[in-house]
Amino acid sequence: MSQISGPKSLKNFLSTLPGGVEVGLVIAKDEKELSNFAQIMEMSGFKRSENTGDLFEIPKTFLIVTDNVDKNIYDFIAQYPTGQIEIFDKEVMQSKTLSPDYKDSAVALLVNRTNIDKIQGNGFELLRITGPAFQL
Amino acid sequence: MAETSPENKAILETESNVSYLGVNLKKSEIGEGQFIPKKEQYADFINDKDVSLPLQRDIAIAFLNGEPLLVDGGTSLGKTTTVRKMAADLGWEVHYANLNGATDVEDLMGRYIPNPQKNKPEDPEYIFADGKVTSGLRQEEGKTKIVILDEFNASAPNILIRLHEVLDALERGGEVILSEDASEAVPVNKERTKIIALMNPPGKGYFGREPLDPAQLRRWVYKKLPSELPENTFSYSTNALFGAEPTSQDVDPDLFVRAREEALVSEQLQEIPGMGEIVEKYKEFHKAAKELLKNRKIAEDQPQPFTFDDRMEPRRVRDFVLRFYTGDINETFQQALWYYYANKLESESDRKKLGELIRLIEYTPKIADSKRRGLERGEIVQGKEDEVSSLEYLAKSFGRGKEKITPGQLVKGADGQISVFVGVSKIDGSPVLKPYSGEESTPVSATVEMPEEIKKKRGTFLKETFSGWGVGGDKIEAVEVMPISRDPKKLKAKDWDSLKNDVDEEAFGQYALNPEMERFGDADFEQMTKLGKVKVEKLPDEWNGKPLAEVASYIMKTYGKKYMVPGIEYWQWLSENPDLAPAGLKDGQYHFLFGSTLRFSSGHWHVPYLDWSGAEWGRGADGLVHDWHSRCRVVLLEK
Repeated sequence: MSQISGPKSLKNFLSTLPGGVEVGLVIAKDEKELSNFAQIMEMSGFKRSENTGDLFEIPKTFLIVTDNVDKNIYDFIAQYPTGQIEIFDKEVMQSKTLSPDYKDSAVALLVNRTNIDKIQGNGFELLRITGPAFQL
Repeated sequence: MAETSPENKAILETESNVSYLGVNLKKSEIGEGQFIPKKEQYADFINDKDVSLPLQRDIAIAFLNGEPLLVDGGTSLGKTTTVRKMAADLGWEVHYANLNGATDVEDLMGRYIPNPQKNKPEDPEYIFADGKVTSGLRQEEGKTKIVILDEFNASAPNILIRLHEVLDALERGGEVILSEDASEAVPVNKERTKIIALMNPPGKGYFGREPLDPAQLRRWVYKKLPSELPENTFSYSTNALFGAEPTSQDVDPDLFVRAREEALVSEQLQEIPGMGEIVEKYKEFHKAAKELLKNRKIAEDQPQPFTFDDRMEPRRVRDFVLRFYTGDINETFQQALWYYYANKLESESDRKKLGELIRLIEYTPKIADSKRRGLERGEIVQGKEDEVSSLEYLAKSFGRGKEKITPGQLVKGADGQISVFVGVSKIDGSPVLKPYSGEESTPVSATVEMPEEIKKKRGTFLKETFSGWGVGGDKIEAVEVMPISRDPKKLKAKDWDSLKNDVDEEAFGQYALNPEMERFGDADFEQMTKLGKVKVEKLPDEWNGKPLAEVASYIMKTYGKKYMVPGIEYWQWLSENPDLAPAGLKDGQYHFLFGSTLRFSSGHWHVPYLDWSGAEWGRGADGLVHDWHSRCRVVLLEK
């Protein structure tokens, strides 16, 4: 049944992310599945990020995205495959840069299906700018 | 496989420079820093010949010229990655701003923030902090900076207006006034700051991208890339990723653009031979290109409208010539027009359409103001005595500039020295001669004895052909369609090269026949076709991009012994008997008949070809100066 095969599949999916040059996308059916997925991701060695600052610091990380995507998150994902990321902190008016270590790091976004539709509708094309995707 | 010589390497890196298809950019003195992308990130970057390398070349041209570049193309093409990879090559800083959503002018230009360094009461409460663009504009010793404006067409209108003020200041080489900082004047320098905007095509599945107002594009050099990778590029890149192909693809030499060590100054332009003539032709071209665009004859399906600007385009073309003229004004001008006009078009057929106009922007050096048909060597070299008298006659005419001289002919200079006329210098239009050894054996040309009826029929056929190619009625009326006999198999590479450079508008209509085909008539062609003796040959890919003159020499050497090389006689028979033509010629490719060459109204020698549209023949001819490409085929007849 999906409850048994699903988590295993997500684990497999997560294991494929290090070495890739794009951000992965995990789409949950609803909030309940999203919560399950988050647990599995943590058990798989992915640490939850709360903001872009964390994305810079944690090598294997995931971020839960709601319908209101932060512009910096979008910029991070869009630039991830380009070899260099520059995020501008508007508060202090300073840039932070990162050269992703594609070999050992991995970034995944976790989002539920309703929110992804809203995000796309707001002009942030997550489906276009992310790489591998997973959903049950 | 033969190693590519350094000057022909698509990307050539030295200690101080990187050259992208011949366009040389200086590395920064500072090799690393926070904003400089790391080279190792691009270890498996694929340099394919159709998208990636031309894109890098065109970016390099814009950087070299200090022009702001706007690249419009699909997301899968790797636009941002390409710019960052070049920055990594060059050690240049990248200042990146994505204009999609929630970006305001102050993010780009700067604003006041609480002073984080405030320790003492006298320290200011607030300090001005640069935005993304301002930090790219600030000049710092040893640094070159690229400002990337990503998702440019997702930007708010007020941002575009502010950015245009920046572009104008860069163009002037002046200062950007920061209204955000009590009108601080920031000196800017386009040698140190390069601006590149990137955008996905409006519509076409990209949410929220509205077409930009064409008037806003005039400040930018606009480059249109495909919406997705072309099939060949996709295939090559995928193979390269899987190790089946090298990461850098071999390129045709004509993709290279060679920049001058030092740019010319505009006063020197009038010293370039043919500049006046070519500028006149360019003005006509510009008007014609605008008309095509206005009437949607080109760029019809492109969602982003644009214009060919009356002020900016000529200026850009002029600046390109100053930077890239290396002796061949035709080549330099045509490259500039490809860069500033054809590159804005997405579809291959549009580019081809404009390309045909671009090819007409040519300066034709005049050797003499002759009204007389040119003498061919076969007419004058009868024997030693005749030769001398002919030479004397030619010497006089050469000295007076009254007679037409064709490559291979012998001439005697004022000092009595006998030389072989090779062609006309591309640099200054002067005749190029080489010493005469007394044993010259080529080229072999002679007048043709041909039954009057065939001559007349051929004349009518050729006049119809010329008319179909757009030659005006007066010219057709006046043209003297004149056959000569010239054995293409006896021509050496240098002879083909001479023919390539032999230009005479007044000899329009002259055509050369292959003597080995002279005995063949209509019945013979029908019989040979039925017997399956027609061979269609595709040349190895390495010939793509090489001029027909070079290809002709190769064909004669490779196939000359085993096959006959048909020309105009077979061209005419095929044209008049499409139902009898072999199926192998009806594959939609361009089938060249190298047995003949004919002079078009431009005065250049052309090789005839046929292509089958599915219902009828297309009849064309390409100049010996033009390039062979993957859709070209050679027609041969088994002996």
